[in-house]
Amino acid sequence: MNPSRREFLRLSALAGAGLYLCPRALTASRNTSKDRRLVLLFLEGGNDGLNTVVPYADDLYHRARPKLGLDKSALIPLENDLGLHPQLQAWQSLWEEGQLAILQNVGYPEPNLSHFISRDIWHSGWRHTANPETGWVGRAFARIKESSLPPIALGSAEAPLLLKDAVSSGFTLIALSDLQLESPPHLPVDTAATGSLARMHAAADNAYQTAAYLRSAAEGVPAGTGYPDSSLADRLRLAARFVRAENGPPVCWMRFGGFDTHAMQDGTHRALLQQLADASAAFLRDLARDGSHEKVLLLIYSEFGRRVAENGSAGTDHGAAAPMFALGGGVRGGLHGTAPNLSQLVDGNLSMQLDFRAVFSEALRDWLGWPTKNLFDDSFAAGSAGLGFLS
Amino acid sequence: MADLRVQRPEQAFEPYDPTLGHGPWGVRQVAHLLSRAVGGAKPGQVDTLLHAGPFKSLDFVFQPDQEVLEAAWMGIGEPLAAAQDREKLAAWWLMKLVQDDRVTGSRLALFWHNHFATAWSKVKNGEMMFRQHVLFLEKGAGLFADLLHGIVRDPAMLRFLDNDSNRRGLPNENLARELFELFSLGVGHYTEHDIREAARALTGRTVRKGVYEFVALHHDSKAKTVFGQEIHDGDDLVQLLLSQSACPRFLIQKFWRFYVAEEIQPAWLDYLAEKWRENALDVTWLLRTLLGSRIFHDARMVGALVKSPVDFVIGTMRALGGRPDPRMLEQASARMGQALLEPPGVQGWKGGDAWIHTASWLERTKFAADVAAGKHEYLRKSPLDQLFPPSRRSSAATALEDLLRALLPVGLLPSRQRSLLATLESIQVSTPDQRFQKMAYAILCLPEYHMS
Repeated sequence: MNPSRREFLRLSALAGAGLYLCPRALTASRNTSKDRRLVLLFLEGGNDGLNTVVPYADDLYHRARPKLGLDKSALIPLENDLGLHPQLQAWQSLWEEGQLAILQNVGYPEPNLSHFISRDIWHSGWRHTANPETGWVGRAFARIKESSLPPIALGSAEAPLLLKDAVSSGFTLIALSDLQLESPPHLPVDTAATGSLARMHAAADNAYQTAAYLRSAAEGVPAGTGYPDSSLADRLRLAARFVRAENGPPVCWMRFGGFDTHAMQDGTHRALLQQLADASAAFLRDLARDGSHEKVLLLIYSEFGRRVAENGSAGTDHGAAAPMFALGGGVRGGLHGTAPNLSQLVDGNLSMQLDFRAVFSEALRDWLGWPTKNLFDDSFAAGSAGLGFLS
Repeated sequence: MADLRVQRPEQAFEPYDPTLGHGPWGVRQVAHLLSRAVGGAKPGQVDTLLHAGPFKSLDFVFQPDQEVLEAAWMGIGEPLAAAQDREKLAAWWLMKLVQDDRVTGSRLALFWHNHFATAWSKVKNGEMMFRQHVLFLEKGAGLFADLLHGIVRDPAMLRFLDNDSNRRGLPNENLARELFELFSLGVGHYTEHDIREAARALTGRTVRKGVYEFVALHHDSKAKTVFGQEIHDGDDLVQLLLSQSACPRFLIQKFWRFYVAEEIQPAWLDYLAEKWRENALDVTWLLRTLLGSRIFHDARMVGALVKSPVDFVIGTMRALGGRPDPRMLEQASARMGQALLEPPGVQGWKGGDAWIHTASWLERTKFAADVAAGKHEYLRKSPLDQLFPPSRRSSAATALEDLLRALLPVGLLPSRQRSLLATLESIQVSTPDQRFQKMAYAILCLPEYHMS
């Protein structure tokens, strides 16, 4: 634990003891990169990238997808013979305003087609580590020298690997009302504890202290308006509150599941994309009311894309490269990277052109101003030039 | 004490026997066995098993089910499934876990539900979900082969992993992949080619009118090659998976994480895998071996596992003898991250350290506060008075002693117990009952209480 983190915890202990600390009290010790926030949205199950950003003019696409292929007439036109899935209607105006950047063919070398291994690769940032124990957000946050609330997972009943560092599992929160708790009689932490018991002590200690901070950060910030009725929208509404809050958490993560569309994909995928676009557009519109959309970067990713050829169940099996999406007032809108090449598949899958770690590195370094040196393993070497999806 | 002699597998897995100098048979050993085997001690059980000794205690937790009682439970569960009510069926299962004192049956079904994780929201059929549960009750403690053959004919599983539309020509890989990765071998023991061939072998296994059916017309009858061997259908595939050396090793590691500790030492794994194979992959043999072994009672294993939400909830109810509103138990467990019959995905709940994070901790604290306050009939007045005689509640020291014996019989470090008592004595309370409430809340929120 670095000294400033200890300082933060000591301050929180005071708050726990009843000395109410205004969040502004932390402002002095902050050394932020323009108070920017990163929101990460994980599409769990493997989103079908080809039916999200559709190469409608490519014959190979229609031949591989006799049932699932989407026609040009239905799509939202982008450029370069690509179109967005019709259910992403709510993104059209964001696209036109330059608030939507599409990063094409993102993945990592030697793709693994297991949901769980691939998710761990995305979240650890390590390609070849079996059972990784820390995530790149957790590691990056542990390095920074500023006092701040920790990265937070919203609406999740499991702690994502992404936020873990060597000692902490990160902060997870299901609903704001969970912060209104009367702490049990306080007993000192058993400093001799090891392993899981030590983590349990840390979670308990951290929970009461951080809860007090989060509560004060969110207090006085009104709940956003204009959101559709969905669990994803609820999470994004909560994220918006923390984005607006002074000294809110620098990173918010959330999952949105159901993308493992092995059978009868069409209806499921439509419904999912509609919820995704409606909720995320509402999030940015809400934040734009007071200009807060300028300080948020929303990154949307999935553990892999899907097989190019559809299967016999009118669905698609696990695949490899897929697009990522970056939204917000600070992105350079448009298409980035090269379009999928359906004539050069590897085992029926699209091959990646852009390493996901290049995208995340740029977000941490250029958006949050966090150091990223050696954050990932040797299988990835960050280019210094950057991809240029941030303006 | 960690005894280095029990490092060698032959010693580690011999039956724990105090008369041979393996260690004591005390409250700690009994509490540890009950915690792992059945989710915790009920009032009086520690004393009973203390007198019974280790072998009879093992017989007690491995007792066969009482058919009349079991039939009565099933008579309640089946209509709930037919009414398509997941929450009520999950609550029914939780109540059964509060009641049961058996390793097998409902409790072992928890393990299998996490291994062959199937989610209600995708299957969308209560009868099929219930039938899968019955499969776990009936075959869960027998030969693993029978269970694995059963699960690839199980309507809920076939639907959950889309095999009901897996037909020749354009096969669907979903079930095939998880059969290798999650159900039998684990990652790294197969190739993508094996999965594609296996998917062909599983074509034609579907669900009609809620029951399993093999449709020959949709089956790809041409030969397939898996692990370099020629196979034809799903039965060949399951046999081939069962014959792999990775299969018992993968399963034993999962059982180890559920019943013993996070990591098994390689020499122990080698030894157990060989012995389990000799015993025809009989699940009951494996569980008796694990729970009755010297290594199970090694100090490194006691309190080494994180309690799942289900274990936290049912263990607390078992200890306090409450007659709770079942729906409240279900909602509490679900909010902590474990909604039975609705696992987050086919990998089940990750468990272990993944249960430990602030959101789940806040939910656990909330449940603890409700239990201590006696909400939702989590506590009942009369058994509480038997458990904690009012005469002993007036003193913090005696009240704490009684409460710890019921809730945390495995024990607390003396230094922690002293510090807990000092904290509790410093709290102002107006009545002994209020003191009792604060104490119960404090104990249920001890990190130690959340370890098994």
